[in-house]
Amino acid sequence: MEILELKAEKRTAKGSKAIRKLRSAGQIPAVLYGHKQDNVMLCLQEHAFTHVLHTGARMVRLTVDNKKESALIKEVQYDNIADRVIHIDFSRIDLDEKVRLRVPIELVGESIGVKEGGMLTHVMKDMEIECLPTAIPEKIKVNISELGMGKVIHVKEIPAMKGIQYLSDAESVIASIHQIVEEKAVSEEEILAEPEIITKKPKEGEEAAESVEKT
Amino acid sequence: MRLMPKRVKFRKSQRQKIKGNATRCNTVAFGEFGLQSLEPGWITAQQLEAGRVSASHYLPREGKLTIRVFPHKPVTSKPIETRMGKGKGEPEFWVAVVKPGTILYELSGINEEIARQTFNRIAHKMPVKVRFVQRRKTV
Repeated sequence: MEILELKAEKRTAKGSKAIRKLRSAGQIPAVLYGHKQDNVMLCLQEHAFTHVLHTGARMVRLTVDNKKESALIKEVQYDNIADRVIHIDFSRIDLDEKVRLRVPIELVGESIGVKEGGMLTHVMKDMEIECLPTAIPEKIKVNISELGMGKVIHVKEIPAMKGIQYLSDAESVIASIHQIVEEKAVSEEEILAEPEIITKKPKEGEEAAESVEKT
Repeated sequence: MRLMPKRVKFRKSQRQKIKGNATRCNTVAFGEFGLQSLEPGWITAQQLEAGRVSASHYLPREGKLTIRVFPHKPVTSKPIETRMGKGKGEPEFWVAVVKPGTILYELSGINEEIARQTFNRIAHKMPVKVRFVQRRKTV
């Protein structure tokens, strides 16, 4: 995977008010941490980071005060309504040290089960792996062309990739193919049904009847 | 399909205000595409069902629709031509309380163009403004 350059500046602004000003000026607050060094508060240009994000890059070479550092994009926080990035976590990495991260899974090929009229369910969209920063794959391709009706594909069935260790549970299901079930018509009883009330107290008459039954 | 809880603690509930934005259920989690609410509001079980039916009529067989909200809240009303007082009315229908940002429906197994057209049909059945969203990239 390509390692992209990203310029960042050190920031002293802290707190919601100052950060709001920063964001309105087209910048994103970020933090760089790890490797037993001090945390550094950063800010970077929003458009530069979104460009990096769209390329699918997971590693960047950060330039902070003319000093270059390799970092992994650890977490990206979003404002889900304004649909923009609001904060980024960068983790310092050594290029000779293995890193853990989640990588998307892509299903490749048209399965036999789908051709027969089944429905494909992509259960696991990404998985955790461990590898060297230089060997991070963009995505893990899983071939499902031989997956028949009623069959599932597990993590243990993915062919091993050189220098990559799969950390997700080996028995976890990645995708499955099942028959399409037709919807049942709703009966009139179901339409008129009322939910059961679990805090309902029994009436006096019912209570007495119950006590008689017990004795 | 009738959307309604099976068991409840109380038959009736107070109306309450809908404050703030959604802090949960606000990202596409099960499919590739989603329909996100942009306004606060109540979506009735009937409206949710109407959305589901309009989607199922349009979707190809391989498309899978997930409804992300559930009508947990009972809404009561008094019979017509009744004088005020004499207690709260009887439960009439069930609603899902929706905040801005909530994902209402999700789609998987189809391409973007069909997903957009399907959500456009569902949007006509919704009492709130909605928009099309996509799953975010894994980081």
